[in-house]
Amino acid sequence: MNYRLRDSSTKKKSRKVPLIILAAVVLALVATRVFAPAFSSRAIAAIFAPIMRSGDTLARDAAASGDALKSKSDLIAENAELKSELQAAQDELAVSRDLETENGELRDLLGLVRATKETPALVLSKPPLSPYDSLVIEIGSQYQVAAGDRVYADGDILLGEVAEADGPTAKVRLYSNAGTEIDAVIERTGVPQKVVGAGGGNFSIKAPKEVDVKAGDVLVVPSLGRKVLGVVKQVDSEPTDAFQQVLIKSPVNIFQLKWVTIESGDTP
Amino acid sequence: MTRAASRIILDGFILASLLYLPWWITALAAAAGCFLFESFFEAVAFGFIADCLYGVPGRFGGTTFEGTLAASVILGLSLYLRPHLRYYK
Repeated sequence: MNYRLRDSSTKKKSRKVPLIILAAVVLALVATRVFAPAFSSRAIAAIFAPIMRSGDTLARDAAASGDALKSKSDLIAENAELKSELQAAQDELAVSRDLETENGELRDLLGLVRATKETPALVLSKPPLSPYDSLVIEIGSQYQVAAGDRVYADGDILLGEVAEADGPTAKVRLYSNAGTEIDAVIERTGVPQKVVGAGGGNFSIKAPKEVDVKAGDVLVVPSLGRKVLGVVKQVDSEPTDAFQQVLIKSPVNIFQLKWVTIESGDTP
Repeated sequence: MTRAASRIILDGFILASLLYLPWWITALAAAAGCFLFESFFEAVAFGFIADCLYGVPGRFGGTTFEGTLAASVILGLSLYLRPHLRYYK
């Protein structure tokens, strides 16, 4: 009895077709990201930004509906607590205004002019939504936000800089993005150090053992008006190693960011 | 539920997770899709959308297509492995 030989070449060819299609699709998409990154980002952001905004609104509505179920005694206690917090904030604000006025007068005396504009922006997405350690904020090029503008939390905590602002939203590259380097100074000693991003609002420094650094030290960026970058959390060193590993954390929790401030224009 | 319906539901879930859930849930769902369904090219599209939405230059020489490449590697692996695995025969 004769059996027909199996035609393996046709089978192999049919297996290769999806792989060829995949290669073509990937090449086309990568080429789009390389040669027209702004176009692709703008188009996708235009489609998805309204959905991201609606998600934020839904989350706030859900939180508000939870408040409606609170008991009366809880509300009274919360009201008293908020009143005391408000009083404390008003006191701090009064001191801050005095300092601001004094700062302005001193700047006038020295002839320094502040040529920056600060714009608050709502955070639409933050880590761990993306593996990139980036933020998406709800204002873009229509608010004169441009690539390179600095981004702060709570006024003076440096987070990163605007990477792309070509559409209705802007993307912020956090300085804690793994591998990103920034020059900072240990505020207590004035020793300059190269700080490297370690992801998730963390940084690290590999410094010689002779460098005086301890937990609680604040790192500032002198080129940006002594803005705070992070606080030293831990210093690790081996007896046999000439270097010490310094672990730094941003004072704000980037996973809970709601608002940031964009500083546009020249830094004084 | 038909296979097409479950595929559409998974697509919807991945799209929603891309916008509201941590990235590793999206990655796991896309990887599952690659091995559960034939020629799950949507995974590459989702990777591309993630890159366009969140991608900023940083690691790997400043590339902003990590999601597209990761999805295509997983899909390529599934396309290669599926004919060789007894589970799919």
